[in-house]
Amino acid sequence: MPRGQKSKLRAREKRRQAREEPEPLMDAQATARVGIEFSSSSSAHFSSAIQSSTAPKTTSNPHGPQRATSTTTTAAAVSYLRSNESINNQTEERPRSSQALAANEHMTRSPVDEKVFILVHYLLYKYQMKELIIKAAMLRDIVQIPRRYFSEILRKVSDHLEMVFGLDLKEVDPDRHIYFLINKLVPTYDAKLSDDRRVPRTGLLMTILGVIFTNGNCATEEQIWQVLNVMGLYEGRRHFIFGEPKKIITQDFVRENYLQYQQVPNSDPPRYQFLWGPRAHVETTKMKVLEFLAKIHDTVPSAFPTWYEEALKDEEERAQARLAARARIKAVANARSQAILSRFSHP
Amino acid sequence: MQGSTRRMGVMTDVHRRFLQLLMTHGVLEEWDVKRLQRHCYKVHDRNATVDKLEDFINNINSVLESLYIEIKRGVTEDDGRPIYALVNLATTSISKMATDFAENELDLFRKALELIIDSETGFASSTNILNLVDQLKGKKMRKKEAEQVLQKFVQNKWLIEKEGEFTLHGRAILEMEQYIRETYPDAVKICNICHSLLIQGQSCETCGIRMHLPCVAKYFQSNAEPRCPHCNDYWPHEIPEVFDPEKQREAGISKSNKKSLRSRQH
Repeated sequence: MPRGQKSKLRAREKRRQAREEPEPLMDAQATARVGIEFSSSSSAHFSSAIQSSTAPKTTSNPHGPQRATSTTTTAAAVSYLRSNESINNQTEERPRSSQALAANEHMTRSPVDEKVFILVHYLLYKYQMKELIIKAAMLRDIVQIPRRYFSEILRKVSDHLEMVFGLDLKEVDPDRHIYFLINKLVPTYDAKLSDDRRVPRTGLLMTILGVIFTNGNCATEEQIWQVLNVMGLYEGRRHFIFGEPKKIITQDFVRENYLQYQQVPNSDPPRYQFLWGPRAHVETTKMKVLEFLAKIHDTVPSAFPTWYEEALKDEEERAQARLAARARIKAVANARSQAILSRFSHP
Repeated sequence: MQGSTRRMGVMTDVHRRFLQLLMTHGVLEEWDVKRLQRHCYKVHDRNATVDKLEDFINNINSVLESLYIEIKRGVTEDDGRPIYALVNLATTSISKMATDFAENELDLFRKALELIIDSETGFASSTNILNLVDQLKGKKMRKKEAEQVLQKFVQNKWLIEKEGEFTLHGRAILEMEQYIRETYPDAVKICNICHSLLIQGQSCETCGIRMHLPCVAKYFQSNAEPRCPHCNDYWPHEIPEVFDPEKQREAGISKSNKKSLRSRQH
């Protein structure tokens, strides 16, 4: 994003006068921090954008003068941090000393290392944005490296992402070199239904499970239709992917035990409501459904505190149940082995 | 990579999932972080004993070091609640990429930031910020629009709003402290106790030194006659309580329901 030259110059002048240090040092500004962006897309690299407008941008070229000046600037930063350390405050100490350590590493950082971590940050940003990663864009905008080194560097980047963040870099288009990051640690929702024909219906099912969950674990048919209508699904109207929705939700999903469809007690004329079916309880969790909902709304599960609480409790209960089950199995196994042993010792 | 041979920590799926979730949330309070940690253990390594949080995070940070990223711990300025955020430690050319904030929106934040830093209380009124919309770089922004942009900043945890006034969210301070100190070296206020950036706090009416509310709480804890650490004059402000995580959880106080603890005591 182009920044006004005047404001950069003005800021630089102001700082120079305040600090009385030679200009080239301030140009490097190696200590100006760039923030990694988070959760909702609108916060993408927000603090980096703020900082880049008043501080001169660093290029990705680490050679020569920039490295020398960044050494000096970070040395200044290190001494600045150290002189401000306080005995009383322990919470700040740790981050500061590690920051000083990171600053020291600036001095010994190789050009390859620098490209690697720049790309790591870039790919993390793309992952948060759920955007495809294009090699041409990387080479043009992010790091300028000869193409022959690119695959080696990308391999290192991919290793870091996998080792540290559990993210897998997949090549989705080998001809145009387009990549995508997937989360190795969380199986995709589609893994639940391996049948290709039924894969799109997972999204529909998760949505319905979400409506049920967020309505106190029981949703009326009207509530379900309200949501489906927004998605373009109407009762009686055949959808080109899903088919006729009413049949799917009241018959198919019910028959497959994903949903329970029952009459609202004492309703006259009869109205109906949906609950999770036993198979839904087995194949997914409240937390997974909440994560799905959060993704659709471009936010995170904890943005819905009440449901998040409930989902967490569900996780804990499941964990307890698993422990208890395992303990039971162990107890049975022990009992059995005792029985066998006793039989042998008492012929 | 040069750092890899010196890397001290070991990353398992527990740590990775924790890092992923922390990255997604942006900033989390300590009890949430502990829950997150337990959740990750449950899902990825049920049999392991849960590490002490400090060791757990240090372990991860030792691995992140070579990537110039860090899980940073701070405290909220108003009531000393510990928070954690994943923070970037180095400059990269990422700033060249388009962000989802327009140029005028970023400039609005910068204007708000300057007003906050220059203010006595650490708060900038909505009116004062909105009066600057004509000076924004980029596309012309109307005041109505600016109000919405300010709300976007609040939702994304860059700003906090209290009674029509705005201050920096703890996350913004964690992320941008160094940048702020370098960019506004004359205007920034520093806490006399912890020596880090101070936006909200109390100040001595005699000598003018300032302290964070949680720093005041800790420094004057069970002190019947609080005196300024610098000039020894009687400390005239109400001493807040030291943050107690157990007490807060029981009371179930939510952030939005809490009475405004903002100290207009400068």
